[in-house]
Amino acid sequence: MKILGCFKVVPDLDLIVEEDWNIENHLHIDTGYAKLIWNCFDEGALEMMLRLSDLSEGLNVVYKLSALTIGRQKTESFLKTLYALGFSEGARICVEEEEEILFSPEMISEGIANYVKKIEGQDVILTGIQSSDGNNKMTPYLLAEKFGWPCITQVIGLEPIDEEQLKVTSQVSGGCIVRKVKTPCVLATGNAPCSYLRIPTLKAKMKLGKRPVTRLMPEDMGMSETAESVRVTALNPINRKRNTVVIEADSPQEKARCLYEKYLKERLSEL
Amino acid sequence: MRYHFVVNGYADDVLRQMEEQMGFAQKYLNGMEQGEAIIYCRSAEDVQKLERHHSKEAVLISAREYAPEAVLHGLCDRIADGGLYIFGNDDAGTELSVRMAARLSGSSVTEAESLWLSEESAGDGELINKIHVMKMVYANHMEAAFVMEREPYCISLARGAASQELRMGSFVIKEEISCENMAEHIVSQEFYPEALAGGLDEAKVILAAGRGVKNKENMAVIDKTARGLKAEVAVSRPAAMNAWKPMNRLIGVSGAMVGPEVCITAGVSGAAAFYAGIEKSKFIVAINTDEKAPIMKMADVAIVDDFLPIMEELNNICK
Repeated sequence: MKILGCFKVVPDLDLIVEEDWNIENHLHIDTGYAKLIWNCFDEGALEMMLRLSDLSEGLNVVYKLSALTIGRQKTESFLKTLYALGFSEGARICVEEEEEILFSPEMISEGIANYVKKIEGQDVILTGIQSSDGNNKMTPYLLAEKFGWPCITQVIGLEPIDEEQLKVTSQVSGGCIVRKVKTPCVLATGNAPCSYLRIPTLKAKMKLGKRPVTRLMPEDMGMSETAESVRVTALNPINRKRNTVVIEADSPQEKARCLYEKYLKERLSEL
Repeated sequence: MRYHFVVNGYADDVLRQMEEQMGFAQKYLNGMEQGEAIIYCRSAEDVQKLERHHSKEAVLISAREYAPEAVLHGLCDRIADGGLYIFGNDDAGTELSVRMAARLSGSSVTEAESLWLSEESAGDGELINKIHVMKMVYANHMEAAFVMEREPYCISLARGAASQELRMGSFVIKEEISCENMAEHIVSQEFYPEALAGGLDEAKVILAAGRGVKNKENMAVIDKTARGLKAEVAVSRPAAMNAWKPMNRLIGVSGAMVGPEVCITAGVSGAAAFYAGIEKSKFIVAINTDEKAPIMKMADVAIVDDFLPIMEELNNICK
């Protein structure tokens, strides 16, 4: 079974300095200096793929894991990590300007769909439910529509069955649903319990992590002709500051007592 | 242009979702004509049992089990013209709004916070309405305005929107479309109920722990203090990812959005994605060793110190 993990490498937004959030009349924020990290939901999806592969040992099913990202050259080191972890294919659609893909879910899904149609056919496409910067929350659903495949959202676990079926656990209100699902399908990963990607060994990095990444151009993947049906027209900073009172005292115990007596006691007694 | 509510009749919190749809319409759609609601549900009986409505008439799309593909089939068959379709704030609402717009060559925005109309010239002197939507982006650090280019306009609402009391009485059901047996990709399925998230949504007092709690042992101190304060324990994403607490205790954009009377944060930096989850708290206390952590300016009261002795002392006081 061929499974494609689509991931985005995002800037660590906690590292953006406050002044940069207060820039007006721009349609994107300069995040170029921030450390790059896996988008958290995508990271969970990639780890889930590896766990699925682990679980298939001894079973009569083989998973071919591929990964695709759309972004800058810096993102290739992330693909090489995936090679070292056992992914057999790694591809990047080369988009060097972050703002081009920030609020462009239709363009992104077109790129992914054309990769699957033209470069490497797939049985399952896994994505995170949303990215932390664009917050569009659309890509997996648009992919399902482009292929006419079913989609399962808020996926938190995968288990092998056979070459045509997967056991998919997804979170729903009040619990979770475990389904036996026929492929092909699109899976949108939510808050997976094991959301950190494992770390490859140095040996694996040396042996597997140096393979070249397949580079694709956006115009060859149909992305240049895709017009978004929704356009961003303004970005506004948000002021969330409150008039904070800082409790000063000589010891933490005194601070705690002050907090309780002055601010909590009455509030808690009223509940 | 007319607007329609699209309602998830399978959801346990269907009434709250309807209240938020109604609150949204009252605030942003004044003067726009309202069309029938579209309700996807198990049966007409379930809809009648609600005994509340926010549109006079409704069309039902029914199936014993919820399957987005079946609902989409019914929805897209039914919609002949453009208009604005307002979905609820849950995962189903988000998915259906995006897929319906894609299927009908319309446009969609998820997690809409607000909406307004503008008039623009179509080029031949005629004025056309444009729909603009505001939503949070950059993990809730900023809000962005979007203009939607193509009808039908499909939006899902952001969580925690203002709500409006529903009208008493049931919907007048105009039509029921049955969509059984449309989920051919599902071979079997089983629902496993999960221990409740501790009622984070309804909690009056919340003690939220972040990365600064450092380990699971320290989390036990948080638990103990929470019991003393009669608070529910919640965590930020880094704490949940370290499995110090299960994911159903997660607060923030991808977890619970809470509005307790008192929210005490310990070792939380105050990342915007987390803060969005506690923003509606009436009173926020921040305890952090870093006086420059963002949370220290977004709280009502802050303590610059290690959380452990503070928690232990609070626990002693509560005894």
